[in-house]
Amino acid sequence: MAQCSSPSIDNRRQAANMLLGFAAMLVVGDWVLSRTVWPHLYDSRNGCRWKWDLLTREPQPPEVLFLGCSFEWCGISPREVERVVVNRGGRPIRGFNAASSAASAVTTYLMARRIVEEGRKPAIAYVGVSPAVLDVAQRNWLRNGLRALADPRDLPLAFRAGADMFAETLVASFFHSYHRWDDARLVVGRAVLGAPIVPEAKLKYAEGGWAAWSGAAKASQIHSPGWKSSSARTAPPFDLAADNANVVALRRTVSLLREAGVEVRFVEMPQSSQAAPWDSPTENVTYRKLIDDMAAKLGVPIVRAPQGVVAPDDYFDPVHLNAEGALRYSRWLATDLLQAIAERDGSTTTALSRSRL
Amino acid sequence: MLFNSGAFAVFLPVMLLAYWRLHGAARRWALLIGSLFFYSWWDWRFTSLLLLTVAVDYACGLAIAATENVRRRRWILTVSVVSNLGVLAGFKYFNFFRDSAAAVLSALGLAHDLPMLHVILPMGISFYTFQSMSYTIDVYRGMPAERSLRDFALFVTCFPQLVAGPIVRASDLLPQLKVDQRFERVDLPLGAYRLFRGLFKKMVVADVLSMYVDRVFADPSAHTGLSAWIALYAYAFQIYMDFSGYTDVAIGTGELLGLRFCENFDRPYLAATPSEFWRRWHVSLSTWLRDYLYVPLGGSWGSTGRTLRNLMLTMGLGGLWHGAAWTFVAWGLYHGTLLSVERVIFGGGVAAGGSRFRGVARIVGMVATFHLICLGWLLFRAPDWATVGTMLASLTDFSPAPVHGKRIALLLAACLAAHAWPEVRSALGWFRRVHATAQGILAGAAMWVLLLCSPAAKPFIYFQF
Repeated sequence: MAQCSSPSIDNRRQAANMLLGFAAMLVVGDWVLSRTVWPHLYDSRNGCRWKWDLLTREPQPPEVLFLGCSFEWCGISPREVERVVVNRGGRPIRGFNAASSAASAVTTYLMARRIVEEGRKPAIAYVGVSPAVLDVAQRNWLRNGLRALADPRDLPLAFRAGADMFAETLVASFFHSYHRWDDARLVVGRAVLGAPIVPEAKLKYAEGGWAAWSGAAKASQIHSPGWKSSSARTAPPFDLAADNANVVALRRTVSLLREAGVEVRFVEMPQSSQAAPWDSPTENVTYRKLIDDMAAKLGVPIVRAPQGVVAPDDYFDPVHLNAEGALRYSRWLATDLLQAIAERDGSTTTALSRSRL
Repeated sequence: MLFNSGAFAVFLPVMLLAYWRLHGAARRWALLIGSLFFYSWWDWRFTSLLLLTVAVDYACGLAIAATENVRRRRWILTVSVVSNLGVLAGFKYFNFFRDSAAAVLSALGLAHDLPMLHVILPMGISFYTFQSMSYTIDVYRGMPAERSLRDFALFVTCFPQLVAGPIVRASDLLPQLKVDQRFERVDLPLGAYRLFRGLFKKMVVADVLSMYVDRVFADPSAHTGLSAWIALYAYAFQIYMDFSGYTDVAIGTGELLGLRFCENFDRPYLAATPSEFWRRWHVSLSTWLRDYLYVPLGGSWGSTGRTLRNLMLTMGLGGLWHGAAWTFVAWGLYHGTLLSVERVIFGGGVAAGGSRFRGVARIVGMVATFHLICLGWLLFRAPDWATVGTMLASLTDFSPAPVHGKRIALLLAACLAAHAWPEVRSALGWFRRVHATAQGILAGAAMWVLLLCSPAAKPFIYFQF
């Protein structure tokens, strides 16, 4: 009888069973690791792909909202901010990290608009700013591909952002664990090798791991995919023209939130010394002038962490904080939040200023 | 596209799905388009170069087969060889020869303004030109020419082995490509096992070892004595795990497509002599060099002096094939010297050296050969002669100094144990015996290990060749 059964069906059944086991292991592994090495990124108020769904599920609109890209998404823990505020004698507040990986200022604008239009507006919003999010070609191949479909003016801004949101959902749902892997590698590396595995990734961002591997004298042979991607980063500095779509979107975000009665603060996340000069908010002179002028003109304070708030080991690459760095930075940010609230005492324009703090 | 990238994780299932859903010509077109997409992912502009190589060798193959005139056949073969080597010379060696000529002119005190080409090296160019060139040579030697341009293009561009081998012969792969492979004949456990084993070797072992190796080679004077030896051993296993890992992924992926590629490695560090090492290391290149260079030069049919000359020439050019730098040439000549010395001491023949050793003599031979191979890797890895010198000084400096890389040494011990394990295939045998769902779970667990323990998505070392 065994001879009669189709071997083809057997192989298909075997393939199906293997895929089932494979998928089950990925899900179980993700579940286990979410409860061990990266719980902060599974915090329901620090979602990426689920951020909008989760935000709408919150019983009350968050009072403090964090907007921006992966810098803020990885680097700010709302739960830690809340904890420090309470520890310092403040009343319990509710924070929500709506920042998302590879977001541009356009993405942030659309997110802010949706939040305001749907009545989920916060009392205070920290809007992440950096050279990368204001770059006219905030690099993301899928986004850029979708953007190519769009017209560069107002209606297309929505379309572009819609495409961004779609692309983000697509990308994030597939690669949502990217940052989590690096945090986990940090833990695994320290346990197994006594040194974090991840800092090697810094090379990929800064000068190219391939270049480091190959050495300067073999530079003539540095023609690999790794080199290509790193040289692409070294090629043109960010285009930070004052009228580019992302700069316009940032202005609109501020206007939109202000009109809704939301206190706006720009936040610049710390970056490591390995960050490329054009990536760094402190070293990119064009960006610095642009953001300082805009902040002065709009009257928006820029929150910049002083040196020493996070340690050199608090990064998993030159520009993203790891889990420990996120907690350390969030503790500092909580003090800024408290100070901001204190400064606004007496004002009646925001919900927080009416708080019992 | 890198095997160790998210893009490949998406590409492979889509490719497999399309491949097995289609039949006949449609399947072969799908594989060809997928292979070109795989290559274009790196840089689409260089796909035209790949297709040019395909077109020239396809036409040359047909032209050689169409004539009985020996002189004409030889002339057409020359066109094929010159075009393939010309592409290699232009993209890979032009600046090397230019720099070397400039250095000579400068040493002679002559002014020069030699042009420099600002081109990047197309990925895998050395592999696919050799593979394509071997086809025209085989046709010249009597193999029937391939009539279908699509099938010939597929032979050259087939994505699992396109970028870093194994260098497959047309007589092995073309017949497989011409028949409709049947899914029920695919060995799924073997494919999955080789795929994940290869990724593990590359992403976990090789890339972790590279962290220490990079640090030492970046500053050799700071790592003396045992620390330097650990780095040298680590590089020996890094390059083995990196390259054999690629081969494993290629063979595993090929198996999932119903295609069988030749093995490229056979536990090379267990070789008892240099010649045995080359029968175990990068076998497809060794046999290519033997069949298309060493034998045409005269091989070992002549005086000892002539044989040694052929060995040195073959290995020197083999070294140059690896990279456009004098350190690679020196590495090739170093191996040529080892093979020559072995030949002088033990004589020729397949039984030369290692295979006649038994017991303690074999172990001594293995240890000695391993260390000789490691010293050769120093030339291969060092970016310049100054680093070679500093590393040699560090290797011989046993003054008291803190030893670095102790944990790496533990990893190396594990690598060595796995390398020397009597029958590694028993792991595959065990994997086969468990239920398919359990196989999937094990593959999922392996996936987590890859995600968590891999330092970064580094390109395979042999991609640069």
